[in-house]
Amino acid sequence: MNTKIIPIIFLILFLAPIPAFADDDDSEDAIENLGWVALGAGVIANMPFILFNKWRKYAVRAGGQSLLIARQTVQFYKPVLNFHIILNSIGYFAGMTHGLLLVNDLNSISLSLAITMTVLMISGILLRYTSSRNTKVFNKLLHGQFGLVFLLIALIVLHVLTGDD
Amino acid sequence: MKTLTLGLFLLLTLSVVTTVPAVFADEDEWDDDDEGVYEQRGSGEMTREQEREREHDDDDERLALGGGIPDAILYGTIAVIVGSVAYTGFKIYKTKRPKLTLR
Repeated sequence: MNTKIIPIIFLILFLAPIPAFADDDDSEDAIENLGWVALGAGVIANMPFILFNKWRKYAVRAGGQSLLIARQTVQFYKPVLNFHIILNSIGYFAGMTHGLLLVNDLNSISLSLAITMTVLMISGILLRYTSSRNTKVFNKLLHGQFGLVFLLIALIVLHVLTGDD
Repeated sequence: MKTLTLGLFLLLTLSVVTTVPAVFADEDEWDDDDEGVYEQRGSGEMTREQEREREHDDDDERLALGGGIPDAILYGTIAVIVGSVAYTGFKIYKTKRPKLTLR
């Protein structure tokens, strides 16, 4: 069942940005549409993972019936995490490709966005794949910093709004 | 685990393979376009047009790199990142430091 659903989901995700490019007659709309598609993909990639983690922490703290439900949902943690990693990796590499292709129009906002994305990506990769405990703790705290997340969202919105200048 | 690692590696390879030729192809296309227009319109008109384009590009560059607000955004971003890294390090240092007890 899962093996059939995953390729379909990937196909939909890969085809999702196409409407953004399809509107060639009005390029400003196309640029903004692509930006909103990227933001939507970011919300889909991160919100379920963040909400799942917050709810699990709350359930463990609350104890009782919530704790039992939290224990039953442990099996969903890995798939949600993998979905978060894969979708964010696609977003990162798509964003970097987009940046390299349009490197002639590089401005401070794009550069800031690329730096922030890279910092979050590196901390995420180290968090997932390192075996050192200290590095794991450091990257776990850094990857979950609200300041960085808000900065990333603000930069994406700024980049979308100033994309047609 | 192995499938995920393989998937990420393939994704990285695919992005590199699609990006690198496209970046070079873009430059070639730009050069070809210039030559084509140059041949069609004659050198005088093209030179004036190119100069105007260059001036326009220079204005854009000045706006993009020398402006006050965009530069402030870049420095702000760097400050937030450095601050986050320093705060995280400080948090860990504070947690791991042995507490001194007074008798």
